[in-house]
Amino acid sequence: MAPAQRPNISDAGAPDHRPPEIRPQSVLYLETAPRGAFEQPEPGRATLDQYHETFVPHVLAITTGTSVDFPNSDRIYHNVFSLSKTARFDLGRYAAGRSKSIRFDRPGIVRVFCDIHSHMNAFILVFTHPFFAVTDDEGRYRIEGVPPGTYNVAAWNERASFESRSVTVTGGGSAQLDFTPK
Amino acid sequence: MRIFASLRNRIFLTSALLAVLSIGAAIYLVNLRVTRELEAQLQREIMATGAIVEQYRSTRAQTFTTLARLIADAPKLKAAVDTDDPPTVQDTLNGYQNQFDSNMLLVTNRVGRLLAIVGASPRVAAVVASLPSIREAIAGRESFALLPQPDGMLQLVTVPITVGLTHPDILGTLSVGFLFDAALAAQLKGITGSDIAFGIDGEVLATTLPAEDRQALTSLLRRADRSGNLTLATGEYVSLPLPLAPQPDTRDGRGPGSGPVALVLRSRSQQLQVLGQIRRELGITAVAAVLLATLLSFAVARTITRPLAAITGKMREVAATGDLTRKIVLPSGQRWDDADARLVATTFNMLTDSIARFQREMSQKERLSSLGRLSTVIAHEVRNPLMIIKAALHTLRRPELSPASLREAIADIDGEIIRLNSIVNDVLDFARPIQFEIAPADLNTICRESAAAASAGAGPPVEIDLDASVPAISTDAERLRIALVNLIMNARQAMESESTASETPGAPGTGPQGSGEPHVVVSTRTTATRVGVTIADNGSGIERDVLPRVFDPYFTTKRGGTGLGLPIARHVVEGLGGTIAIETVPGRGTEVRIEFPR
Repeated sequence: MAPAQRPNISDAGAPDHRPPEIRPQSVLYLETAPRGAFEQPEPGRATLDQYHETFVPHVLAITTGTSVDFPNSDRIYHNVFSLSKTARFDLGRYAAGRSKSIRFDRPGIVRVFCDIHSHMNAFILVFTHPFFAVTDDEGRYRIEGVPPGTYNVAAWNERASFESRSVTVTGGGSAQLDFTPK
Repeated sequence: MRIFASLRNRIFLTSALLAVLSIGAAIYLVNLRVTRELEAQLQREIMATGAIVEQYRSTRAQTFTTLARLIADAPKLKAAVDTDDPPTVQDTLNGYQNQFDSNMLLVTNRVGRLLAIVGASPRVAAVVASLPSIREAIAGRESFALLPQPDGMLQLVTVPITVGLTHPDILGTLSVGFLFDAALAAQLKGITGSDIAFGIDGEVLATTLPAEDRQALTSLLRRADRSGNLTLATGEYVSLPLPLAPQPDTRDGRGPGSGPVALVLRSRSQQLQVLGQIRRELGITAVAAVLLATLLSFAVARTITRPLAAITGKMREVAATGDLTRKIVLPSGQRWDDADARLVATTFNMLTDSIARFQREMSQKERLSSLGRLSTVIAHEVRNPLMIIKAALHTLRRPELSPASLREAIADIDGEIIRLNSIVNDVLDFARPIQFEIAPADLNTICRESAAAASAGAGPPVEIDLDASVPAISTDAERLRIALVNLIMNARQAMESESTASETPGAPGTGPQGSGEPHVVVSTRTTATRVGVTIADNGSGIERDVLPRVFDPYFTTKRGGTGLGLPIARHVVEGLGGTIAIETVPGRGTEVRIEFPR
């Protein structure tokens, strides 16, 4: 799949000199989930690490009910908090080597910050179904195990917006869908 | 001019004038210098104030920019803005307003939509949200804006709210506003002592000056040249305009007086007060100096004029008394002794000495010359009788002497002896001081006796015309009678010599003889203060060139006269306190008038 075109804020004035390997990732997901997709055998776990004053990964996609661990792998104190409507929480500040976790039960986008380091931020996208994928460094993605049918696929990027596109999946087959920003 | 006629006045006025001129010039220069210095000081002060205001403004702008950056970097605010939920942002923002002394905080989201505001009305918020600086901030640039408000000028710093280090994400914008208001102007006034006014586009928004001055300030703001002098209700001011916009906005071609400006106004009243004080002191000093100079010049003038007054006083004394032995004595050894006055005094003393010496020499000469003339007269007068006596003696020695001849000779000798005796008496009378014997006497009686005595012998008749009211006077009747007899006889002899073919030298040969028959009139008159005797004849009068000399001793026109009759008469009359005068009209007669005080 072609990488999602990164948003270009040079239109707004500031030239983009960011290296390509750290381009923001996008998340692709089905807007309408197939029947039975919501059955979760067991709540999963995910990790959002804090390292070098950065949340890693920058974009995390999970299903509802997943508990996310926020280990502090740095050498300094960190804090994790969010004011998002989806999940409003503040884990407080904690030292290096410790970890705290929180369970996300509502779908939506949660942006987390560190109140000590103002530049730190990360996105957690919470889905009700497992049919989503985060792009790799080249902007490629793969959503597996999708039952045959016709779906609308949506793309999310923190800086750009995309049109949803429709795709039909046949049994045992695959479909390719490329997105470009609006 | 009359006042310049006196040396003292000239010295005094010149010194005083010099003092006034020099002091006046000095004061003029000092005044000029002080005025200029105060003006320069005022300019320095207003420039310093301008620098302080500008420094304050830029410091404040920096502070608020830093403040805006700090707030914008707060994770709480970022997280709140990221929600794009106004109540959440408002809640966060309220906390900051309490901590920072800004007048306004305003947050928009990444598309410029207003999220939260504190310290401003929704209407102002809408205006701010529509400012270009919001778009600038969304584009990642900090920007400034100035917004006129009813109570002052709002300076806005707008910064982007970003998150992330390597690829920052612009979440929204934060505007921090602070007012250039009356409170700030008062604060600046407290620091600088100058009045401040903030205005924009020719409108005054806030000032430390009272409201009645706003009109004048507004007109000043609208002028192209906003610096210079300004007269307000509260006094005279010097103004300095400071543009407040970070970069003067000239692109849109707005005219003069536009754009935000801070006017620094420095009151001249203090300067004028200091100037007035200095001028008053200068004036007092000048008056005192002029007075002192005047007094000094007066004193200096007096060091000359006081000895001069002493000298002239002594001169007047000498002139009045004729006493040449009086000397001018100036007090010596005084501090303000004037050498010139001393020279004048010494010279005058030398002069009087010389005059006295000359006088002595003159009187000596006079005496010698009188003696010489007397010798001539006596020689002449004595020789004639001696010749006659010698002739008579010759007759007497003749053998054939007739009795008639004998009698004639004796008579001749007798007569000439009388004449000689008379000459000797005259000379003695004139030469010796007269001893008067004063007693009350009747002037009319004296006149009558004199006329009778003088009528003896041939000649014109003597008439008398006496005023019966003439009172008795104190006089020496004998001396006066002799003088009168002399004068009457003079008059008779004069007319007699004319009638006998005029032997008088210098008498006119022709011309009308006196009116009628020759005669002499002796009359007396009295007035309120004086009594007078007049001896008038109607002869030919006295020649004009002879008249001035008639009282000179030994001057005579008569053969056989000693020339002492009139001098003796004057001697007597003046010795008795009277005056004698001769008036003559050639061809008509002569009048001798004698007057005595009653």
